Amino acid sequence: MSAVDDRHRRQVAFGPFGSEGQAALAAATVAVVGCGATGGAAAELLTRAGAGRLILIDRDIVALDNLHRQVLFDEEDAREGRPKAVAAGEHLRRVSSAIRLTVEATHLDASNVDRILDNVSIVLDGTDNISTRFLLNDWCFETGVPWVYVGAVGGEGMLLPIVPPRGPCLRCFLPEPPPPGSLATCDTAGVLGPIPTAMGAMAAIEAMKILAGASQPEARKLRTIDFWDWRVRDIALPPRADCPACALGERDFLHDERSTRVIELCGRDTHQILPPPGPRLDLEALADRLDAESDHLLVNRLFLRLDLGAERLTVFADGRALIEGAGNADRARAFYDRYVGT
Amino acid sequence: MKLVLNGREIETGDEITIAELLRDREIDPATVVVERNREVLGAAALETNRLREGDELEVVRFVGGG
Repeated sequence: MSAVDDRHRRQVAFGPFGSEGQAALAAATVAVVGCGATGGAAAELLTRAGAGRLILIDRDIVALDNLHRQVLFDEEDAREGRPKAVAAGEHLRRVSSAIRLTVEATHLDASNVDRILDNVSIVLDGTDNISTRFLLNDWCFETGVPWVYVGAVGGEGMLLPIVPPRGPCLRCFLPEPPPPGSLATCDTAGVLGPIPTAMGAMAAIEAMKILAGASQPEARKLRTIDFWDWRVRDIALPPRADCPACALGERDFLHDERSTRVIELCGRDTHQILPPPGPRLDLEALADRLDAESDHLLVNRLFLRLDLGAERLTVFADGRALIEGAGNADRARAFYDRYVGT
Repeated sequence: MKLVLNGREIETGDEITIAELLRDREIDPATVVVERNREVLGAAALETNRLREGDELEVVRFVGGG
């Protein structure tokens, strides 16, 4: 038995998965969209389980208040404010030298989704926001790629495996994105540390079942778990006859307008500034320009960091930036315009 | 009348619809899935179906975050 076989022999010994499931997993490319708490746990478990290739996608940087739940990161990652996709990749590389990793430290949107998710076998939702989930749902129904929705907030978690072209899908549950402020977030409701890891583990199991061809349509239920009061509910969500995505074939979220957007990230005072696709920034030139502004300027191949005490700017070569400590979206935008320019 | 909402007994006015119960509790009916006595109800049924004594409701709100 080879070393790789030896590594997975106890998993292969589980009959319903077996060597065929293991081979399917080894042949698979899994996209993990968001490498924080749920996505990070799923990514690590699938790496250990023997997935062939992982695409790690995350737009955020590691912060101290991530560490209570985001199991791929440590204090050094937080101290250095490293991009999560990069830190996740380095952690997973130590777990498995065999896995093929693609790191995408960027925000997934309509302009890059075809490139980044090209040829994936399955998509795992590790996001913390609605708009990316609607994008994933549209993209997966357009391409026929399965995806696993997973969420965790407060004391509860939720999961739904979605396998096109069959519904139900995300929009059978939520036909339209709810208005801003209407859903609980990590900010308003907090989140108990172990919960997203438990949900990420369940998402990894669903991915293994789908890849092994063992996911039964009637078993793909909307599962909600209240971990605090311990209530588990499985709801056989009926596909909506008028579902915009899986019944009517609308793909509105694949056609995003090309304008600079400001998005508040879940969990702390951080805003993402997302300019429309364009030429890459010259980070060294920007660093030269900003040098007079701060003693705390850091620049490398991937990003530039400007630390002004209460506020901190991290700008990536694609023009995307994270502003910490601005207080609101307008100030974040202003901060970006002041130091990076649009 | 008494009914069970997410496993807990509650008291409501008679003859109210499910949508009215949700709005009383500041829940937007467009953002939840509702099961009544183990059967999932569509959006239109939430507005028209009146609750009865002893009904068991499960109201599931979308969970974001991750």
